[in-house]
Amino acid sequence: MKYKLSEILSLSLDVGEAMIKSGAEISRVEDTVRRICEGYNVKYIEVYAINTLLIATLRNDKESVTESRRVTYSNNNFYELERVNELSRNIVVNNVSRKEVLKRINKIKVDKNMYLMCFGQMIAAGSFTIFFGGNALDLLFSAIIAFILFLVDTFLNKKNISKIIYNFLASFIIGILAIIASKFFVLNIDKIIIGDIMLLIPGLAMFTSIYDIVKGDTTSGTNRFVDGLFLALSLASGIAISLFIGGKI
Amino acid sequence: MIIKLLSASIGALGFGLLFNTKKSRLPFVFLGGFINIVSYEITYMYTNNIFLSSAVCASVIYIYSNIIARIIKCPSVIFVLTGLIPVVPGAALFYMMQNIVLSNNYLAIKYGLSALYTVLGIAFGIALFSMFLNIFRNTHNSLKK
Repeated sequence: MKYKLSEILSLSLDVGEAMIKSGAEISRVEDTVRRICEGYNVKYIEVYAINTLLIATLRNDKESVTESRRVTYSNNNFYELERVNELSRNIVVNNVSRKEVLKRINKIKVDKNMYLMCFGQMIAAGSFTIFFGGNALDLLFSAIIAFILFLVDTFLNKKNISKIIYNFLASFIIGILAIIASKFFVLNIDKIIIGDIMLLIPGLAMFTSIYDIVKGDTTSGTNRFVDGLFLALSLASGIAISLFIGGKI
Repeated sequence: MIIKLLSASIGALGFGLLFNTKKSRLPFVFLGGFINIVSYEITYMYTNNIFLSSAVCASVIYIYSNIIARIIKCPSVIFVLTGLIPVVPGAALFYMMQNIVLSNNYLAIKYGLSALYTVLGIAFGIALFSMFLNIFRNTHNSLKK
């Protein structure tokens, strides 16, 4: 065997961690780690993953090693997910060192187009404002609020702040901004707020959780489900408080 | 109506951009949002039932994204998540909160229930078809061996 057992373990967990962070299903993560280790001809592999923890033990005839990773932060990034997936397939075929793997993962992480993401957020908010029955002026304001939200998002550095508090804050900002804007222009506040709320709603977390439960990962499924429930609650209370302050529309 | 359908699909596309999807996948994301909202509206027109229509549109989008993922070789989760965006109950959640603030209990419960039905319907649709797919794959693999 060309590489040490501990090096193989570390590099496979690096890939698994990157996958959890970009919002993959749990069964896919476990499968990937197992497949990478099999690619390096490791005999016995035990992997366990939930949405906040990844732990694996590799064993051959002489020794056994265990390593774990704590994952505190994850969001949906499909480009990263897809590229890491390709990378894992690549690793299985031609075995590379850990240094190389880390270099490639870092390269994938840097590769993101902020302007395009901002633009995506703006057109998503705007088009859902139209979808629920707003007019052109509403579209403009909901796009502006989405832009401000994006600035807050990049400025706040979500890694250091609890997701629930962030959601509460963001929905409060949305409500207040919409109410302030309506003092100067004639707007349908409800349509603007709904369009912007769609960006924050944890519907996606709910769907991934159902995915996980059906595939048999009940622990991470229920984790994500309860997480989504509380996110929805914090979102709703943020909106409610802004409505109370702004005079109930 | 046309405006509604188009804006829903553009919304799905916007989420595709926001989640940093590869550019070559974006047309399929747009199509997914369109198929989703069309199937929802058609079912809702005939049955007038929120639970049933969200279950139908979730299963349609699940099948669609698995087919597309097989064809262009990428994770199917991309199309499931972006395609389901147009039926996420944002409006119901907002109106529920607004009516709680205005203390209209009856309306608040009505909107809250409709949000709950939508989430349950989507969960049901996805769970049902991913179970089918799992069973199909398992039998397929065991037959191969």
